[in-house]
Amino acid sequence: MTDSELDTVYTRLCKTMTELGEPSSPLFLARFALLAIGRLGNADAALRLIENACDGMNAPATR
Amino acid sequence: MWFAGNAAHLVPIFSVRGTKSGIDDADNLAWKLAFVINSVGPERLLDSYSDERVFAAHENPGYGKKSTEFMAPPSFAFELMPTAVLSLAVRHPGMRLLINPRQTSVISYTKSPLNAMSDPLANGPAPGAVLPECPLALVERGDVRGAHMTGLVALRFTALYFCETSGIPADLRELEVHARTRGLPLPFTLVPVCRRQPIDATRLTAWDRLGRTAPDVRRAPGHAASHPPGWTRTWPLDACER
Repeated sequence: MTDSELDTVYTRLCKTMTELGEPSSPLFLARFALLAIGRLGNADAALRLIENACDGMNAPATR
Repeated sequence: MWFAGNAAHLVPIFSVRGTKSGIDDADNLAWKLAFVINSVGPERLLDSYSDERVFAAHENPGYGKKSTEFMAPPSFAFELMPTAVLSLAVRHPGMRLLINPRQTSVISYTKSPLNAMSDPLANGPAPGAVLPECPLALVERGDVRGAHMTGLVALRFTALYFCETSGIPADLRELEVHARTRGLPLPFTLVPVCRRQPIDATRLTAWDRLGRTAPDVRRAPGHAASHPPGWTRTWPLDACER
């Protein structure tokens, strides 16, 4: 994948979510993640990606 | 004292796992009791009931938990992801297993004392796993009839020999003679499983028309005992004496 191809995919992702609307985006991303995991076909790699994606995100403090 | 069945209600109700496990408990105990009472098996066979079913009791909560998460999601994510899976499952069959609460999973007795360990078979089930089912043609006395792998299950030790046609090497054929002289409590039958039409249509032979592979030595009721690669000649008979 070239830099420009990556950019095309990124932009398509943004446009698709914009069209679907914010409320539908979590489901869209969940579907995308599942399909990507299936295509990846490697449990260790998928678990690392989950960790990487979560890294630096903080769960909101509960009161 | 035996504490059999679902009397302890150890698992959540959603997968009906308790009832199914209870039936498995009773089945496991029943054939072993019958074998020992009728002097077909040694008394230590009864100990394997506890080994196998306590192992199963430890496996069950995991399956029960999965069903509970599906039926009563503990967080929003356990609703979002099944929704995603359900909406993809029609066009993406690979996703379907994620929404199957695995109500029918069968326990593999991977640590059972009844397993005879040998080199693992690359394409076969692990020792202690349930015999995989598949359609087969059974050839016997010049006759061919449609059957299944489980059709080979009978009150005997059944060794499956995987081959191209039905030619059994002489040293393997000797196993049946050895089995008689060793006085095994049940008949020992060697059944060739052929990928091509058997040449010898007289002896009981399974013919796998689709040319798949499957397990080999079986222990009494429906679980694979082990695999012959690297075996010694009497190895299958040693396995039967467990």
